[in-house]
Amino acid sequence: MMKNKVVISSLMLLFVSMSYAQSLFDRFENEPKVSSVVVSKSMFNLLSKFEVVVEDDPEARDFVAMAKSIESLKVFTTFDKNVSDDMSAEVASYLKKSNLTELMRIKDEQANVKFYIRPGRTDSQVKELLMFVNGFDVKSMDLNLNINGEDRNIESVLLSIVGDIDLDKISSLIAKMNLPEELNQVSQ
Amino acid sequence: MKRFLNAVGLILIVAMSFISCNSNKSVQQYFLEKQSSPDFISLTLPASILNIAVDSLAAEEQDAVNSLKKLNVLVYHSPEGASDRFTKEEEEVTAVLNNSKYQDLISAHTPMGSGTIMFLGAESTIDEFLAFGSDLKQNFILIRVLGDNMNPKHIKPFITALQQSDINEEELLALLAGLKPKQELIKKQL
Repeated sequence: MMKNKVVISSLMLLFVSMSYAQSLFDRFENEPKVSSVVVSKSMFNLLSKFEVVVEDDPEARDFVAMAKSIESLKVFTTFDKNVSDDMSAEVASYLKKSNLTELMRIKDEQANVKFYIRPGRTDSQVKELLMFVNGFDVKSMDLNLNINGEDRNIESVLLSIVGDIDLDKISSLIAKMNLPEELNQVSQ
Repeated sequence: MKRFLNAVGLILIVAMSFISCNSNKSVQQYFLEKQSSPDFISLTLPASILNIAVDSLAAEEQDAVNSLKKLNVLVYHSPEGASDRFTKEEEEVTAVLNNSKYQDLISAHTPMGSGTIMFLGAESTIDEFLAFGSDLKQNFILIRVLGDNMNPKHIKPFITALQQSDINEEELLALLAGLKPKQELIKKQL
């Protein structure tokens, strides 16, 4: 009796935390100072279906193989310092709760890039990939700093991919979906 | 214990029926309602306007063309300085879309505008694509691509077929003639 209650309440807790985890970064979608792209599992399935024709292109083949098993892809970009700090805090709290491990960290004059993964079957197969680029210094890149009357000195990028991801084949995904090039570093 | 489980089950059932009842206005109803509204511009293009000579196509391309039925376009353009009306209309359409059975494919938001592409049906037999785009200030557009078991495998053959199409421009322009000031917008979005 008591045992059952414990099981049920822990199941409920699990359910609540799961539904929370799913909507984790979703609130940034409605944040006006954030640009976001969210690609669903269905889209990946469709993409893998209509890309299937090109069998002689190894990059396309890698892409099809991976697209089938991707659950979701989300990219959030902001030029706003406050939102960037908010993102940073959200990432930190997510890392504390989830069992993601750090894959690598790259820091140079321009940016601070961090990669986290949820390990899968092998070293290159992961279940989840999280990339966070904090305070990318747009100024040093000599880009257009003022867009729509808004100063864009820093840029933060949060990218999350959930599914079966092969880090060695991620370049196919980056090429097909115009993802940030920093991602290429995970396969090197 | 059993009682507790029963209660949980009951709550779940009530919650689920609540969700299904809550889809108060369907996308179809929304289109019908807004098509007759003076604030909206609507346009229906039959697939035949593409004027593709189906007979000369490969079998796969023929299937692709035949699975497409028509295009339904709805545009809202709010009057200058009436941002409250735009907000109201946008909230309404967002609510309709969120309550619909359409599944998201891609959604993108930027400070300059937002867009979503959805579909209805199963992944290999799609009945409908729905695209929604908004500039967050004055205009939004809804495009429905209606078909019959559209297969994603057909997308490439369809593009091939489209290249051989002989679009009847006069017919298209005649349809667009009534929408002069907004013509640019439609062209751009399409």
